[in-house]
Amino acid sequence: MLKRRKGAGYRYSVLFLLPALTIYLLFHIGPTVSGFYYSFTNWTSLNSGNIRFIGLVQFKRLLQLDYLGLAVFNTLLFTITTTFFKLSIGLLLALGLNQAIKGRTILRGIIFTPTLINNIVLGLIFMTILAPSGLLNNFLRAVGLDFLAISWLAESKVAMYCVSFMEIWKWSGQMMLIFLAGLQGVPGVLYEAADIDGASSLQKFRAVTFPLIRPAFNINLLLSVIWGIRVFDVVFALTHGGPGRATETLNTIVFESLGKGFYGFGSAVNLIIVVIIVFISIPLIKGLRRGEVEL
Amino acid sequence: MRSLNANKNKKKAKSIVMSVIMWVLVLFVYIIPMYFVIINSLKNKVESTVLSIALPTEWRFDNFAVAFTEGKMLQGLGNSLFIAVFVVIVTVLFSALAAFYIQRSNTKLGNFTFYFFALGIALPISVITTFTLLKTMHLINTLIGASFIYIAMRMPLIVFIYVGFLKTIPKELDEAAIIDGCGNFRLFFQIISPLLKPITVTSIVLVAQFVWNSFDVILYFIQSSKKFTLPLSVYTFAGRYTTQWNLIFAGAIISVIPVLIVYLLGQKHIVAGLTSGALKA
Repeated sequence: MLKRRKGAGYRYSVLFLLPALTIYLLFHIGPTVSGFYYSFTNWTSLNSGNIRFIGLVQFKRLLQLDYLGLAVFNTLLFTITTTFFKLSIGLLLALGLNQAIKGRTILRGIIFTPTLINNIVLGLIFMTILAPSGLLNNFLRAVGLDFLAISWLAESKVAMYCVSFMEIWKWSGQMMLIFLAGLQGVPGVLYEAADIDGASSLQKFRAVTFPLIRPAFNINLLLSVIWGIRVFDVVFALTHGGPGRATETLNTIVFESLGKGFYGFGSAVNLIIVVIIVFISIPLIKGLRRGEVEL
Repeated sequence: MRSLNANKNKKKAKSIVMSVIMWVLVLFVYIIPMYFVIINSLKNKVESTVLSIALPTEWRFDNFAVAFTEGKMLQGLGNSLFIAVFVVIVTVLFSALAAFYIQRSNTKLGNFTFYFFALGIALPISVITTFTLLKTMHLINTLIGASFIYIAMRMPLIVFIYVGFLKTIPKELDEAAIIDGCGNFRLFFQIISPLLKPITVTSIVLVAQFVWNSFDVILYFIQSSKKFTLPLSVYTFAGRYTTQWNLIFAGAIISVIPVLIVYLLGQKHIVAGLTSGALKA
């Protein structure tokens, strides 16, 4: 029998790759790339047979949109607030539930459950929680904070924070789970060594825990930022972009242009979203990699 | 001896304090809102309009039956289950296969596709061109069409975490099997795939959670209400019964149950799977 040389003799079949790659190319990359092209055309639902290249006209149109600034602001506000709170709450929950606590499996389950509620259903639930005489305001009045009991979703300055709040409430449990997975990888001996050196809890966190859960932190950060810039469904579910246009985001503009048949325009907005994501995530990935340590 | 005991007591006291803090926190932030939904789903119409956390004077368990039949939720449930099962099977199987090639083959193609898939984690789908693509393929307004979009959206992340997990399975295993005359497919399905169990369970939960969560795909690519998934049946139902929170909440609870079951079944493995998969890629 012929002995195969290590690594050279055996071929892993490309057939393994093909099904996934085909679906991904056809249903994800294909539309994305053709979308780039249509961003520079006059395509609408009425002229599908006669699409012309018109250069940067759609982008100029976007710049003239009177609520573009607000949409960009909301998108960034949502990204920053949700990323910050999802990560810090998720981390604190994970640190707490990594201790010997009575019923911690049950607690983890309860905290994770919101991530299983569909956003459109969650939107209905949060409408009743945030309603003028809803659960939150009833609670505030009961503890004497009447002045805080405003009509949350009708205030244009507050509505976007409500959308962020719903997202944070829902997804902190997912962040917690990934952090918990990261914490499982931290060997107990390191803490014993730190104890012998007389390290305080904070010192232990900074010198032992955090560097070792850095990969978990990085994944959470990256996914949260990317998800934030793409935000659409929580807005649709809770406020529909309102009151007025107070909670419009970049992706709600895309949705609106699909409905109106402004295909070229919508593609252009989508291209802008892709560009923003690429420009934010590439440096983020590079910077984050540097902070990772290996055991 | 005494100081050791004192230390032990101190630790015990600390853990009790921590337990209390965690439970109180979870009570206010998570349990009360969930209880609020559950308790109101069991009230009669008049009482549920008040939106309080008081117990109902009469327990209306029939709200669930009413919501289920009036909301045509059987249809929604069927559509949801079809999409979820199809998407989970295709995504998990094809991602595992692709990840196996990427992690093991050590070829330029494998390397390139890894980054190519990683790109897909960040890229949003282009709604408008996807819409026209499905239209030309006669897949617009079909469950299969929507399913393929879900698959294409979630596959990049699942490939990514499978690649991470495969790194923990020694390549010597493959070599031993190959020497025994094992072909590509037997190698994967008989030797490797049983070892992938923790990450497969994690992936199933993650894909099911994703499908159950993203109503936007249905909103974009399905127009006929006969093909709506369960959460959208609840939403349409809520539109018709605007202030009957008892029925709406009952519908909301029904819509969570299937995916909750998937989570509870996979709960044991999910942290282990994430530990070795997502964090080592």
